[in-house]
Amino acid sequence: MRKKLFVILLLFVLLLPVTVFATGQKEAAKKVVLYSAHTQEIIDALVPRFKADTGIDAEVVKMGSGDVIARVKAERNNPQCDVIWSIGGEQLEANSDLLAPYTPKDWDKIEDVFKVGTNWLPYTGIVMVFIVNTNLVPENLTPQKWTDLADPRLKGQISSSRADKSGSAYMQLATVLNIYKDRGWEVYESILKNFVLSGSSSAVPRFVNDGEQAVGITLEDNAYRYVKGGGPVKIVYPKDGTTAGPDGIALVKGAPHPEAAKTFIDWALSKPIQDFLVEKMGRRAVRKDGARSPGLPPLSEIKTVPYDFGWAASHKEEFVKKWTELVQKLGL
Amino acid sequence: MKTNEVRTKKHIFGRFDIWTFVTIMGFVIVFIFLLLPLFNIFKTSFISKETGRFSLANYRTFFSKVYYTRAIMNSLIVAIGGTLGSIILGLPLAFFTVRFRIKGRAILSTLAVLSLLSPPFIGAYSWIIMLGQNGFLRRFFLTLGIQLPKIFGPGGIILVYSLQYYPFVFLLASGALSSVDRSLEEAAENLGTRGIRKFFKITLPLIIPSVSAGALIAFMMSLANFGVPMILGRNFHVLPTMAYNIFTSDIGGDVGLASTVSILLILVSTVVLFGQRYLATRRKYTSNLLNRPIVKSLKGWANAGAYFICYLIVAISTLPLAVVVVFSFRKTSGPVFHPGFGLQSYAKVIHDIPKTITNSLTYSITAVILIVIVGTLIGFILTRKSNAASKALDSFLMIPYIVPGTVMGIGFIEAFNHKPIYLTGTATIIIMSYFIRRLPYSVRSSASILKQIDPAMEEAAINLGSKPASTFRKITLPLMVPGIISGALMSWVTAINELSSSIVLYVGKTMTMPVRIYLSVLDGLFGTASALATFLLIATGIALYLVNRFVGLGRETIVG
Repeated sequence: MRKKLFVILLLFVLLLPVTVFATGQKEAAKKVVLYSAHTQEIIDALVPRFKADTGIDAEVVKMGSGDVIARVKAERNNPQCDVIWSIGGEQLEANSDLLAPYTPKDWDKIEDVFKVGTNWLPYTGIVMVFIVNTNLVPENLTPQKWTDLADPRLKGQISSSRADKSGSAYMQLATVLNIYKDRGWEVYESILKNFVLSGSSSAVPRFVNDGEQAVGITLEDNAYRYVKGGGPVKIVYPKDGTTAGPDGIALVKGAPHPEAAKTFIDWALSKPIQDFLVEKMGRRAVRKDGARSPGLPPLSEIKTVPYDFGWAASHKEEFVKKWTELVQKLGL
Repeated sequence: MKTNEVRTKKHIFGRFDIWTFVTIMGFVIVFIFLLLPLFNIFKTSFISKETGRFSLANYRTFFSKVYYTRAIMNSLIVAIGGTLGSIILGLPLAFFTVRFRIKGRAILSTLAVLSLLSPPFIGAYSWIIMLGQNGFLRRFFLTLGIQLPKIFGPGGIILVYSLQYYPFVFLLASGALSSVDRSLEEAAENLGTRGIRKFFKITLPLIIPSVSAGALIAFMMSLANFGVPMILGRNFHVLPTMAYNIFTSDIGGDVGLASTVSILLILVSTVVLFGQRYLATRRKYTSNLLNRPIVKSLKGWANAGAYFICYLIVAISTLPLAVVVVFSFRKTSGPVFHPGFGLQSYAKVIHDIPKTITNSLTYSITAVILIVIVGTLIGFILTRKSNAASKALDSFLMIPYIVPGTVMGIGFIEAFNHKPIYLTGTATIIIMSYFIRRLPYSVRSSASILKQIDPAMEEAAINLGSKPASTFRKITLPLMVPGIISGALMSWVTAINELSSSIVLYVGKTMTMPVRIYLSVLDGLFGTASALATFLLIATGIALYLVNRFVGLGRETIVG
């Protein structure tokens, strides 16, 4: 008997490695399922708050933004997710067919510069900026325009991330192409020559803060964390224009809990939550009446150039291919 | 009647007992988790992205662009550099600690092993903290008027590899040095060859097989490493980072080209492995356990010098770990470090800790249980039931030694992202990658334990009527237990520190500690990375302490 048991146990254990585990799906009465690229810290703060405000349980699956899209795409015939919560606008735009249009309660309170349509909705505002190390770059040499970044003295002194990896680096590229139109690639290549590419866009301000590079191209909220933390850095808004674009929130087509989903979106765009995001993340509120981080200029003082998300999304493959060729040519 | 029938059947099929079953299962595991992924990579490398048909397009693309071919050069540069560095640090340390009386030898080798087993990318970012433009060591040396070289780029990568992998050379060379036949060295002295000359003419050639085996491991590790060049490389790419970047590119990564890079990487490892084999078999010396060299006491300056060198090497290699722990307690405001100490970094990771720690523990422990069971059983067949099938299994199990983690990760994704086995995004895929990559070590170690156990005891049990399975359970297994436990702990340490395949395989919910730390480092969040790394180092330290209690941290435990 014991021998048999041992053999059965052995069998079981040996078969274990070739067994595929399936995960079960739980069902609850009043809930909303969110796929999010938010940091755990923000999720942990907001989920209980949403429950307290609305009585709805939010189930969050935290993933990278690429994974969010891939997963929603994979589930398109049997959607599991209600709301995509905080991923890049251009990724949502490129995958509009997975989303259901929704006009939120406070639609008229949303800043016009962030509005793209109702397929997906602006959630927080991000601005593309330069971060400059004030110890390394004297005031009179501080780059003020995209074209200033082509200065040969900045060779190896500009930190940026990979446009084939990071959504924000792609946005930088598209911003330059957008501003300079026909001369876009020529201008971009002259800047690219000076780049040191990092594996992550969030690391760009770290390198500038630590003096590894003198200048970085990054998102305003990333840079602002280092300014707020007391690092020897400052933010420069390019005078020849920059992109103010939102990251987004969107209702998934065929969402299993559409009503709870709409409640969540309205809640996420409400003033208290927008103000919380401004304080916690250093992002801009997408509401006209939203709070603003101390020390950051109002949007009206920044020269923004209208950025067509549809254009950026539909040309992504072509642009990234060209970008890769340039990077290989320059040996970055 | 019935039993008779069964008996006759057994005769027809040969002896079909539990061990036949284990052999078959061994092949099934090797086939699914080793050959299938590698075959997929191989196949994909020949499929053109444009046409989807068989072609050499990927290889043509690779070899037509300097950008790609340079990665081979770069890989060789850092791997050879790391190997030479490991020899330069490991050999003197071994020589001084084995041949001369150095106090604290046990502590030195324990610290060396601890730095060996901590994830290399933690060392890498620790060196950024020390030697980056804003690094405290750099600033200190600047006040002395000394400008230290840059940490980013090949130099920094070689530095980290050398300090990480020298213990391999140290451990293997120590073993060889302590068993060189004394009479050979004495004969040389009698003939007038002394000191350094004696070392290079007599001692070194005698220990070359061991040193080259240690150097080989250092080379393979340096060649396969992903985290260090990812963090320190910047615009300097090596094959593993190249494969990863191509594979994970935002625009539907080029799987074919990534597979091509992977195949080339495996090719380089294989060539080097066989090269070392050839070298080592050409020079084979029998060691003499009776006529061991005497341990001398040094005096005066020579003594001080030997102490200085030994302690300096170990101190520098342990420094990165100490720096990580200290920095986890530095005061921060947002991502910026400020003078003084505080717990802000820990406060920030508190949200991530429960999930990533649970993941890491569950995955590594599950993997280790599988590794131990399967490894012990296969180890048993290799030593006790040696036949053509078990020898073939043994050769297949060499494969993980030459396949870098990143490549294995890519292979897993290619093999298991479609029917019949759909595993991408699951915990199982990560567990199985730990399992298959560490299994050979466990097989080897249980085989070597078994070689030390006299089969006579098992034969006696069989003669007394015990069945194969119960003989194994009642006689062999209990004798193997101490060895198995230390092997399990070593496997666990490698599994919980594993980055290069989990970085390819993880999704948000299956994030592990090393992945989380790596991503923090990559994002420039050094404070939170330090706090998380401290947890990982403590876990590693505890496991090593236990290994030390059970069997000691010797050469066999670490190198296998």
